[in-house]
Amino acid sequence: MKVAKLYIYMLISALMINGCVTPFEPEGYDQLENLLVIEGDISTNEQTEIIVSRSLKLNDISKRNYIKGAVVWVESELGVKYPASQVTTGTDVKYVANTIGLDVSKKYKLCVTTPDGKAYESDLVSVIISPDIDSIEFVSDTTNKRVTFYVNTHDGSNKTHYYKWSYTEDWEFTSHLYSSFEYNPITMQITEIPSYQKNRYYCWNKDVSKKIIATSTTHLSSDRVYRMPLVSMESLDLRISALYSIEVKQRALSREGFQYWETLRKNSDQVGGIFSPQPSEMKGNIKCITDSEETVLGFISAGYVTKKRFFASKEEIGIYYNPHVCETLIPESFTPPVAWSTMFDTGYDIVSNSPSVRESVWAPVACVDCRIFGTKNKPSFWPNDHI
Amino acid sequence: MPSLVRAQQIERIVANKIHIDSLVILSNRNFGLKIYYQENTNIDSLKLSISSTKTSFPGDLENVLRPEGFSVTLLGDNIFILQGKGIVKDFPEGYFERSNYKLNESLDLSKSSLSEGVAKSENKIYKIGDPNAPKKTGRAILSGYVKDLGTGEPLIGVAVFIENPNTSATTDAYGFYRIPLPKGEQNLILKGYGLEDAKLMLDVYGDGQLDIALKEKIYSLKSVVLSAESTHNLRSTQMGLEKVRIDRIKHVPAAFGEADVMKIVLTLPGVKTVGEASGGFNVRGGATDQNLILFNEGTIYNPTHLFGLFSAFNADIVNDIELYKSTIPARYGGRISSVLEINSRDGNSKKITGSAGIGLLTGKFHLEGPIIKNKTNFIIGARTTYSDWILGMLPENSGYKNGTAAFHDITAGISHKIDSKNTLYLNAYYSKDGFKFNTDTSYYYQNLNASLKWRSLINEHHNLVISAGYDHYNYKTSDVGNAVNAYSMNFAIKQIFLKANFNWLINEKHSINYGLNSVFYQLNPGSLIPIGEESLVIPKILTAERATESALYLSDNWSITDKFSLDLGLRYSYYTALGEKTYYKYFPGEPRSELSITDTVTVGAGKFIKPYHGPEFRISARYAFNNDLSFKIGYNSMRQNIHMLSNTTAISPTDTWKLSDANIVPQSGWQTAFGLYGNAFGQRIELSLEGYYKEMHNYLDYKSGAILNMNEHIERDVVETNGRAYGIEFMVKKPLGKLNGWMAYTYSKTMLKQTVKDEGALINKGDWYPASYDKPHDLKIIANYKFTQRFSVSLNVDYSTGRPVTIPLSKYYYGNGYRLFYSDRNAYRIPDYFRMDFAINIEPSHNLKLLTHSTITLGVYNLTGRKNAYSIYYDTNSGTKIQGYKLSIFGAPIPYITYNIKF
Repeated sequence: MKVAKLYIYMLISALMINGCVTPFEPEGYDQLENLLVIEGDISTNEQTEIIVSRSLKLNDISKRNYIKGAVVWVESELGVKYPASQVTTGTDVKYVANTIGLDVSKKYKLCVTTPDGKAYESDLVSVIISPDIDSIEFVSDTTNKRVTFYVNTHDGSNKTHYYKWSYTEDWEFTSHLYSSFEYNPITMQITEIPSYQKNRYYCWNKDVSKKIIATSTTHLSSDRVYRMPLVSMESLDLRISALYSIEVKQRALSREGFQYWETLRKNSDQVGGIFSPQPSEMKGNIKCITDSEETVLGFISAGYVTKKRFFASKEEIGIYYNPHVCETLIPESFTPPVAWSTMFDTGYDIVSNSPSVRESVWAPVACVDCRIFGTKNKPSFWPNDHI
Repeated sequence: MPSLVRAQQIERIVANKIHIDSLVILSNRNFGLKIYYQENTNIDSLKLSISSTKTSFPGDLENVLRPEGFSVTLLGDNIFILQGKGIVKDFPEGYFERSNYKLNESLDLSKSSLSEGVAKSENKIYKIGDPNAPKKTGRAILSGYVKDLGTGEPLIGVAVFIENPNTSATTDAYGFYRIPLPKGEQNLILKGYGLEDAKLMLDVYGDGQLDIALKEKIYSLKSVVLSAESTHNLRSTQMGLEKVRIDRIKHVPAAFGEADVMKIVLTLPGVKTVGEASGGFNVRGGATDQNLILFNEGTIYNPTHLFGLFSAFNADIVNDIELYKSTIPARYGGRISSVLEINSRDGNSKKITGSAGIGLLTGKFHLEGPIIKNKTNFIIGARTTYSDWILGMLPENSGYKNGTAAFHDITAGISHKIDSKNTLYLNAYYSKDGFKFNTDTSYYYQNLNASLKWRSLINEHHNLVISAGYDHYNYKTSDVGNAVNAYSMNFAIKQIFLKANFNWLINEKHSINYGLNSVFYQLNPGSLIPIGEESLVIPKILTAERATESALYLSDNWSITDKFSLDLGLRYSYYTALGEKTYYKYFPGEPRSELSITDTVTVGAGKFIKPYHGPEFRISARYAFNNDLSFKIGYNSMRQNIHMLSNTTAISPTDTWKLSDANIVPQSGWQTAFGLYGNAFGQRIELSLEGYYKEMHNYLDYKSGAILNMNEHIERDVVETNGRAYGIEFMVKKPLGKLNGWMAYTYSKTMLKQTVKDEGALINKGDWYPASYDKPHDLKIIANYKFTQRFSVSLNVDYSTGRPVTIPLSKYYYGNGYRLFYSDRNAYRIPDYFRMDFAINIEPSHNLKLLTHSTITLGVYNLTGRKNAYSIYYDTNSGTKIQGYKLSIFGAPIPYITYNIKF
């Protein structure tokens, strides 16, 4: 049914050949900021990471307005406290509590006291144990040049019903042209890269899931999730140009938790269309104890999470295609010869150099230096010996 | 009008080469002698010259006519012209009594001498009743049908009246009228939109029948200024009734050039929609499901094609539409906001005709004509689309390139005249929309209606209409993309109805309308069925809901004086959901959930679950200050037992319906309204001002996060809401003339408020909030200018305040993405709406004698290309700054061309 509505939206969009979307800034109303947001789930087999922040105006360019110096702890129904300590990485601030090995038969809540003295706490929530991920797989659609990665899972005891996934993805890729030289814009000299370790050919990058991926199996005769789509890529996608890896984290939810995430998803993904539902009010399970009128955003769940990692190579996926517009130029062949610095400033980088014949070959930097699209930080678990 | 008629009080007739019908008038006016003649003779073609006084006239006439083979007989003040031998003048004493011969029958005789017994001549005197009746005093009742002279189709909404004393009637959906008249000589006037006015001379002796044929206006005459609508507006107690005839609809520019029966409704004052391309409409603050849409008596649940782009009615079949916004007649019930009645035509009773047309998206065809001449007529029309090319225009890799979208609709009607008093009508309607976007997902919905109607004149004062029928609406979606989740979902509403309606004209003061309505509903709220062997979808069929709704009604139109009249209506309706059903009882006052269940009740098959019943009042009054100004006031209350559940702004094809049951209370509403109606500039311009205040109770709104499809405990996901609406509507209308059309301005407010306390989830904390179709200022102009009869231009202007929307007030980063914190429901408004459309209508062949007539329409929808906001939304995936966007549906001028051919 959701799918049907999406298709309807697509048809209407198609019908409205003249229909259009234009940027729009509503005026004449006050935006809100500084609503407290508490994010994070209590895990019994991982450290619990909690982020406390405040909401921002829509056009604010920052991502989060972190709250530092809050007192955060997980508390069991028996009143046992598991304190979290503040961990600051660059501008990011999170609170980490060691909750590994908590008794899964007890209920827990999350408590936060902000530096301004306000106290917040979540409802007491049960620990929900996620079943193992059965498999991760992909399907390549060679007609439409598209690959989609899926997760499969099931619960033999038919108890879980509500699932949510998140993933981190890592991928290796190469620049189109191998260059063992580099241009130093300060000395304006071309030098050979001293060590293969510093090659600009092999690079890696990583990302995390941004969409909310959740489903329920209450309408099925057995508690089984088959091919829940995680991520989809087209043939030009650099992620599938060499070796791609995805680690999926699966969390089981309560019915309330699922409803919260589902509403959040609908409010984020399904807005603005002709048949889109109107945005719904979000009701989390966190409240301010010192001021019951205050709006607090977030929903705290507790659970035992399961994870699975999956690799797929370019050859296995089989749809990657890149025409690589990598025109090479020899500046010395021009009359008068083009200066190297000019080449560099116009976005070219050195591919090869033959000082003996006073000839250097240049190509657009994106063809030469893989660091344009990633880093040299190779993940520790990477299964090949590329450096 | 021929000037001959004006020649009065002359003692002598001097006529040179005039036709017999002119002579009839002269004779009547000058000498008081009435001439009767047989029309099927060649007397029509004779040109008569005569010069005589009253006493010598019969003899002179005989001298003129005898050579042509006619006889002239004088009987009292009557002259009979017959072919061949004259009438035997001297009957034996008591002859009439013994033979039961009545002159009434001689009227029939004279009528049968007219073509098909239908009065059409302004120059004849029609005798009504028994001329042998002793005295010409008191009142008599005249009834009959008004038909189109060319096609024989009944004419609806024609004003039939006399001026002194002021008495009027309007023809109903069958072209039937009934009017009380003082005995004696009367001038009966008939006026109808697009018709030539007619004035018939009557000599009323007693009750009688007269069928009248009117000519369609051919645009060479330039006389009439009154329209049926204006006359009706001033004379009846009816308020808030909008009538639009199909020729008007066909001239209004529309998206893709499709003459649209439903979209015209949106141009009327007090009618709003949330946006273009949305199927529903809101009348005076009512919700979209509070409109009863009747097509030839059948209830239509989804009156649109292509998700609301077009209406599902073929404009070639439709005769007219009527929208009741207030003072809804007692014979209608079941919805609390309005009644939209769409009537199809009966079909040409004289010859087979038809039409065909092509537009950008659709092709259509219709055929009509007699099966048995003057007895049985048929009309059939079909429409289909070839809109696949639009999907074909999608980008190669969109995945929808191989999609298909199709719709069609078929309308068919047969009317059969059993005898002069009984007519049977059989109507059928079918529409289907189907979509397949790729090989995996398909979707369709369909309407099916069939009805049989019997209309009978019990006697001259009393007639009845009995109809019975079956209405059906269902939709189905299926998705086989994922083998484990492959499913199909079905939803259906079926209803069987019986309606009996009686009209009884007791005397000139009281006209009674009474009857019975009964509906049996069966609603299948959903069935989920797995597709394929791998599918794990649990087959789930929600228990069918059944209910009956019956109502008795009585209303009296009471003319207290010429100036003051009342309409008193009462309807009593009784509704109950029927078993077999198991339902939960919840703790009163608590939010309904698993936790608040107090009891489980099972009701056996056919048993009443919970009856709801009550009276509905339909009262209105009219005071006419003079012929050009009247004031009306009214109150009506309504009940509604079926609810549409939707969490989208526009009507969506997957919206579900729910019958009232033990947990869902029927909706109720009342409205009070006043109106001031006037004519100006010699009745060329009609002005009206109407105001209303309305309340709605137990309207169902959804809770945040509600699941509305396949939900067996839907009462837990909806909240009861009250609504109130008020507004004022001002309209200027020029129905006829070179420049014709209307302009309407409305100011209105519609507010909703959640009534039941539900912890934490109270919409807007239980305060009043504007409905999503609350658009206070609203200006609409529909104009048509006829340069010549072959060439006219049309212009639409539509302006309104932007509708309320819920917008984000704050952003936060959560679950690896930006999320939005939304305002109170409907706290902000999208920008104002403005649109102008323009069309040129060309009718190259306007000669009546041509076999085919074609029309070409060229137009531009949204002439100014204004990018009206349909909705605004925020993209949370584009970066740290959350950008707002507005979606415009028709964001540029859309040119179109259509070609229609009539034969």
